[in-house]
Formats: sequence, C-alpha cells, structure tokens
Amino acid sequence: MSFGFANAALAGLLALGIIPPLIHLVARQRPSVYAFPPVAFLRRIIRHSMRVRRPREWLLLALRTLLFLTLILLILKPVYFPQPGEAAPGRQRNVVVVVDATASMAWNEGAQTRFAAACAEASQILSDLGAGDLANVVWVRAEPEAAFPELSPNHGQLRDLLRRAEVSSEPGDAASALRLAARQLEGREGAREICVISDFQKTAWEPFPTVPGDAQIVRIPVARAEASNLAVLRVECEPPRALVGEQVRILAELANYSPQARKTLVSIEAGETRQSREVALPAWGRATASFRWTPSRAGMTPVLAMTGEDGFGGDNRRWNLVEVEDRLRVVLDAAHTETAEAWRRAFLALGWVKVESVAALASVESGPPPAAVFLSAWDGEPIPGLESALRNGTALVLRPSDKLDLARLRNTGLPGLAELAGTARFEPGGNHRVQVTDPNHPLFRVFGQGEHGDPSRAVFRGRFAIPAFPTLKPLLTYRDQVPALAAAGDRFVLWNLALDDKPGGWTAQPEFVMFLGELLLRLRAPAAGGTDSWLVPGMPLVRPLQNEVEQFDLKLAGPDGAAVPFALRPGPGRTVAVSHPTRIPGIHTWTMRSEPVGHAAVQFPSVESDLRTVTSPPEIADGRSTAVADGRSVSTLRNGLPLWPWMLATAIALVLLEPLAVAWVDRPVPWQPGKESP
Amino acid sequence: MLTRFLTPEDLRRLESFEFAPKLLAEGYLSGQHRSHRRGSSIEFREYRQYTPGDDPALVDWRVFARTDRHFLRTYEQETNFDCHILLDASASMGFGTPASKLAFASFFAAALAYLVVRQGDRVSLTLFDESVRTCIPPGTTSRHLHGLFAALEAAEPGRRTATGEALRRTFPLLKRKGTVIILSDLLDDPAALFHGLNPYLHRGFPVHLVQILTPSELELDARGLTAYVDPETGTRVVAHPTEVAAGYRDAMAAHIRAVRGLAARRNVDHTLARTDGDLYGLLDRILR
Repeated sequence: MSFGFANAALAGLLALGIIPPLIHLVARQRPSVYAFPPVAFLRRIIRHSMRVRRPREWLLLALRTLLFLTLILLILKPVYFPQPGEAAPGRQRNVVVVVDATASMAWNEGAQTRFAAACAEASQILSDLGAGDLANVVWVRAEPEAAFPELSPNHGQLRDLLRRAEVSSEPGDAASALRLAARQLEGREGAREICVISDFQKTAWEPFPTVPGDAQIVRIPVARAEASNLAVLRVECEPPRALVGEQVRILAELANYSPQARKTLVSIEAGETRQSREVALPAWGRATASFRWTPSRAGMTPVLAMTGEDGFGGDNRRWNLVEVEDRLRVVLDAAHTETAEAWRRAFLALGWVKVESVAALASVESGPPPAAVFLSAWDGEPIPGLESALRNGTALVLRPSDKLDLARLRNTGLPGLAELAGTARFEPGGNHRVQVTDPNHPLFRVFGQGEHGDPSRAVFRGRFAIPAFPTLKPLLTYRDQVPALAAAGDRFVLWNLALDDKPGGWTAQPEFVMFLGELLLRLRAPAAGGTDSWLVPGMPLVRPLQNEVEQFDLKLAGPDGAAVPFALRPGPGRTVAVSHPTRIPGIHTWTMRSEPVGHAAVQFPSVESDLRTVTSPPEIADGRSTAVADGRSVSTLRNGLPLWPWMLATAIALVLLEPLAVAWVDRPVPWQPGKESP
Repeated sequence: MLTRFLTPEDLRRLESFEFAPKLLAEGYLSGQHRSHRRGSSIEFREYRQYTPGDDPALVDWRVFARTDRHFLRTYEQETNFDCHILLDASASMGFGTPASKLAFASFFAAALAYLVVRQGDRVSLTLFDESVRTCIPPGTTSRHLHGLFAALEAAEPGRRTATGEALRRTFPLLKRKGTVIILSDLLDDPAALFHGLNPYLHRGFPVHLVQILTPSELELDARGLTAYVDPETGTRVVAHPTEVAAGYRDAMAAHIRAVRGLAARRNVDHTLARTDGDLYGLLDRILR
C-alpha cells in the first residue's frame, strides 16, 4: 500500500500547510494593557474558561489546518496504490492479458458465460492502458496462442478481438500459456504485468504453474458461484466391432459434479435406435447406464450418449463409433490341406464369415483389414500384405508345417512370439485326446452349460511335437501336456489340431463349427472403434493416406458439416493428412468423393467437466502475484485510486463545519462561581 | 483648614454632620460619648453579679439585703472619643478614574477626621499597605488635624496589600480603645483580614469596614481584548471582557458576600462604597 501524487511536481505546496498555524499564532489580536487590581478574580475565571476554550481553539486550528491541507492535496491529486511498488505514474507498461478460453469457461453464470465476463474484464484492462503502453492477449487453450506475435500498442484491435472471441471446447494448457505470456514480456522496458483472467478451475490451475521472469502477475477470477454439472464421461461399446444382427452392449458412464444427488435421463442413439434410461447419481459420484443394441446395417455407426441439458451443455453428449460388418472377413491360405478344407467348410457353415484368399491381403492397405488369417501349411515364405494386415489388427491362426522355422514368426510383429524358435515336427497317427486347460476362458464360456457339447470330445490322429513356450498360453492340451491350441496375446493362435474327415474326428463333431465361430469372434480386432476416443478439441486428426488418389480428393468435415482444413505431411512410409486442431466435439468424417472413408470421434475433454474452482485465487510462492476482483481493480492496482473526489468531499465538509466550529468555540463558557476568594 | 480634600463647600456641608452617634468611646474626659467604664456623674446602666476581683465597694448592699446575693451596679459614663482611621494605601487603591480609590478614601478620612476633631475627640491615622507606612497617633488639636491632612495629601499608592498583617502591626500602636475605621478595597483574603482584626475585636474595639471599590471593579468595563495587569503583583491576564464579565461579576459578588458574611459573624460593620457614589451619603450611613 502506497500513495503518490498525480501532480507530484506541486508537492512543495504541502509546505504551505504551515500557514494556518502561523496565522493562528502570529495574527493574534494585541490586547491593550489595563491596570486592574482584581486580576486574581479574572485569572480564576480565565483558568476555568481556558480549560474549556483552549481545546476548542486547538480544534478550530486543527480544522482550519486540515481544510488548508485538504485543498492543497486536492491540487496535488493524491493517488492510492493498494500494492507497494506500483506507484509509478507515467512509467510505460507492458501487459499481457491471459484469457482462459477453455471449455469450462462456457459455464453460463447468470446473464453471460464466464468467458464473456473474462473478455469484458480483459477489455476493461486494455481500455485503462495509456497510449504508449504495450499489450497483447494470450488465449489459454490446448495450444495457447497470442493474438499478436508481440506486444502492440494497438489496444483497439485487441479489444475488437476480445469482442469477437468465442469460447472453445478445448482443455487448456495453463503453464504453456503463462510461459508464452512471459516470453512476450522478455526484454521489455518498464513495468511488466501478466493479467490472468480465468475461472481458475481446480483441475487446471492447482497448483498455479510456475511463471518464468519477473513480471507482476495479477489474477482475476471470473467464477462467482459454484457450478453444478452433469457430464457423460465415457461411452463404451462391446464388441467394438460388431456384425449385423450381433447384440452390442453400450455402457454410458455419467458423472455428477455437484454436492446434491441427482436423477437424470440418459439416452443413446445408435443407428435408428434411440433408448433412454433414468439414472440416479450420488453427490460427486458416478453411475453407468447399460443399453443393448442390435445393429441392422453394416458400416461405421456413431453411437451417441446424451443426458439432459444443464447450464453447461458441452459435456452432455459423447460419441463412439462401432464398426458394423455384415460378414466377418477371414483370409484362408490356398494350401489344399485337410485342415484348410475343414476350416473352409466350417466358415461356410457359419454363414456370417466371408472367406477370402491370401491375395486379398495385398490390398489391405486400401481397406479395412480382415478379422483373421488362417494359415494351414505356411512354411515361412513371405505373404504380401500379411505383415501389414497383422500390424493393423488382423489375428493370425497358424497351423505350422514341418518346414516352418518358428523363429520367423518374430517378423510378424505380433506380441509374445519373440521366444519361439526351432521347427515343429509332425507326428502322424495315434489317437490323441485333448482337454480344456482353462474352462473359464471366454472361448469356452458358451460350452460351460453343456448345451452346446464338449469341444474337447474328439480324437486326433497325428500332431506336431511343439515344446511348451512360456509365452504361449495353452487353451487345449493333449493329455501329455503337448499344446493343442495355444495363444499368444489376443491375436495369435497356434493350431496343433489335425483335422480330417475320418470318423471320430473333430470336424465330425457339431461342436467344431461352434468352437471355430467362437474363436473367430474372440480374435476380432477392436481397432476401428468401440473404445471411448481420447481425441479432444484442440488436437489434430491424423489419417495415413491409403493411396495416391486420396491426396487430391480427401476432405475432412466436422460435426457441423463445416470443412476442417488439413495438410499433407510425409510420414513413415506414406503421406499422412494432419488436420488443423479440431474445435468442437463430435464425429469428424474423412470423405473421398463424398464417400466416407474414415471417422473420428472428438470428445469433450472430461477434465473440463468438473467446474469446481480453487477456493481462493491460487498463490504464487515468490509473492509476485496479486488477486483482484475485476478489471477495474486492475486499473486501480496499476493507476492507483484517485483520491481527489474524497479530498473534495472532505474539503466541502470542512468548509461547512468551520463556521459551526467557530460558533461553538465562541459560545460563552458557563461560569460557576468559585468557593474561595482570591 | 483648606486642603486638597476638603473645600469650603465640603466644610459647609460637613457642618451638619455629627460624629459617633452610634459609636461607643472610651475617653479620658467626660463628654458626650457614653462609655462602659465606670466613673463620676454616672448614669446607671445595669446590675451585674459579683465576681471575685471586683471592687467590693461597688457592691449594691441594698440589693444584697433583699436578695442575699452580691450584685454590682454598673454605670455609663460620658467620655472623650478616640477614632482610629486605618487607610489602605496599597497599589490597588491607586486604581480608579477620575478619582482613585485612595483619593476617595483620603477624602472620606479627612472628612471623618475633621468631624472628630471638631467635636473635641481624638483621631489617629494609619496608612498601610503590606506594612505600616505612616502612623499619626491620636490627637484633637487643629495642628494635629493639619498634620493628618498633610499625611493624607502626601499618601501615594504603595506596594501590595496585606491588610491582615498591617492590622496586626498597627494594633500595638493604639494605646487606647476607640473606634476603628478601616478604609480599604479589601481585595485580599477575607480570612486573613479578619485574622488581623482579632486583637481589636478581642479588646472590644468597635470596627467598621468601609470597602471602597470602583464601578469598573464591580462591573467590568466594555473594552476590547485587554491585558489586565495587577498593579500590586504584576500578574497579567489577557481576556475579552465580554467573555468574562458574567463570571467576574459573580466572582466579585461572591467575594463581597464572603467579607460581609464574616463581618456579620464577628459583629463588624461593613459598608460597601463605590467611588462614584455620594460621599456624604456614605458619611450619613456610617455616622447615623
């Protein structure tokens, strides 16, 4: 706290304050001398009256002196600075206004959003700057950006930007924004200030980021009241890659960011289906609503979960994508082995499997990868497109051959195959029986009740002698513990089951087709959708180009149908399209000649849903920060509070008071005769 | 006979005054004044019970025969009269215009002395301030009167007042009991004054206090801001008369009341004289 004078050059006038006392002392009336014997009586009276009158006269003198000083101060224009060290009128100021434009600022607080209030405060701060002061605005977003490349005296343009600014749906990077603001102030002469205007959401501003440099930091919170918010936090689809007619389970998780338990209606839209359910949410708690949906049409299908509108609508909707296929694509090798034939017949029997040849793997780059590749006599020779397909999520079911060096499986890039080595030697003949290693494995769940038979009820004539590798998890084993069916991770199955048409063989059992179908469904890759997307506004969308043509005809549209610009950049192996940062949540669609070729669900950032703010504006350890109530307070902080109106009011009051005081001083002192004579 | 204080007109007017009708005197000559002392050509006064030490010759035996008690007959005797004028000539008595309190008191003393001597009585004059400045013993001749007038004319305001102390010092100088007339402004501690009067009262001196004050002392003059200076002590007080007038009036009245009250309790006559008042009226008040 300090004081200064707008007209400091006239400070010498303060010395005139000595005038009233001087006049009071010097200009006293000269009394005439009069010899008078009964002075003792007078002295006693005077002594009595002076006890009353002298303080009155001093009071009058003080009043007049105060009036005189007030008038001088009125001329000097005193200014009050709440913060020490700010009393520097005329000093150039460099101000960066950091405005929080994150999604939480969209909370509607009364008549306006927090963001609108922040922009108004920022505009106020800029309005109070002098003509020679430099300023800039930095937006707190996922990628903070400054309005101007460097500080500028063009405050009007900045105010215009603030007028037209809109709140984003992005999370914010407060630390980067403050660093950017500090960089703008580097090397600037004069006072340096960073004014941070934000709701100071707890999840983003606690603890307050470290700010480099020595700029003074002023924090202006715009959150006036606690906000109660409901948000859809997550949408999960199981299976993420479904077949037409297959039941999909949709889980919508909601969060209640308020101290009261609430009930709300949560709805989902998937394809042509719309379902609603009431959900009870405990205070500050979460709840999950489960829906079942059976897709009837193939294609990438958006699933939207939403809840009732509240004061913060951005997080009331959340999307997911379910890739619905009419048939599951399976690649089968061309070897004419009994096993391959048995697989083919079984797939045909399933009806929802589309069998393709290995040649189809060559075109996997331009389309969705097949669900699985079944190889019955692979000797390790390269298959075009196989590695690419495996990289993109295709599962591999392999029946080894005598010529296959198992070490070559490392090249597939599939997890869990690094330790495989040696060759598998086929041992023909014999009547081998298998057993289920883990009955609780999802693969065998359907057989658990016995309604669908026993998948291990078969005799196998011949098998490969395969050692038990630690990374291969046996699903079925022969009685001597030789693995019959082993898996490495979710996408590799080593098939050591000899299939033939002989009586008692597995293919003759009805369980075989069902088991193969179950195996195929378990091996489906979740890559295309299902899981809640982690993409949030502010992040770019990336798409590797599938072919050369795409670079000419590829387009990206946002949820509102507006085109989202993107740039082509060379990527590893092929060109990738990188979009500008996305702005709004929703389904973004890549199109080629008006045909959708890819989708991406951009979600509202969950971190922005919890609107709780820090209880008090965050403190900075080095003491450079100040918290103020609003932009006008910043002006007061910077320019000081002019005290001349108070001085004027005081002077008027003193002028009115002075005659009253004079009358009071001059009023007779009541005399009480003494009890003793002189 | 003419002096500064007594003009022929004054003398003519004084002819109609006679001194001491209400005063008692103890003189050595039989005269017109009654005395409690026994003597010849006596006039019966009262009976008094005998007390040891009384002259047995004064016992009235006829009363003893009737009552079987010893009573003395007392008589009043006309004798010559002593008048002791004690005049305050302190600095404060010099105050007052056109005539100061001292001048007023001197005129009064001269007139009184003239009347006493004219009646064949004796008059003494003592001028005092804080001590006895002049003491003219009692006398009855014209020459004595002239000397007394000369002393009055020569009197100038002296130093500060200490009436009580002056009275104590004056008392041994008075050989014979007589009427004591004190002319003073009595701007002194009344208690000290009456303390000084104690010997006189004890011996039975009739005492008359004439308190002489100027109108300005009784009521402050309307003046501007004034530095009031005490001529005796030099004490200086600056005040605006309008501000202190009421208080002063009350204080002075209280002082006079205090003096008057003490005088009444001690059986002392007290007369307040204003210097702008009628001197003959004052004489009339005191002498009748």
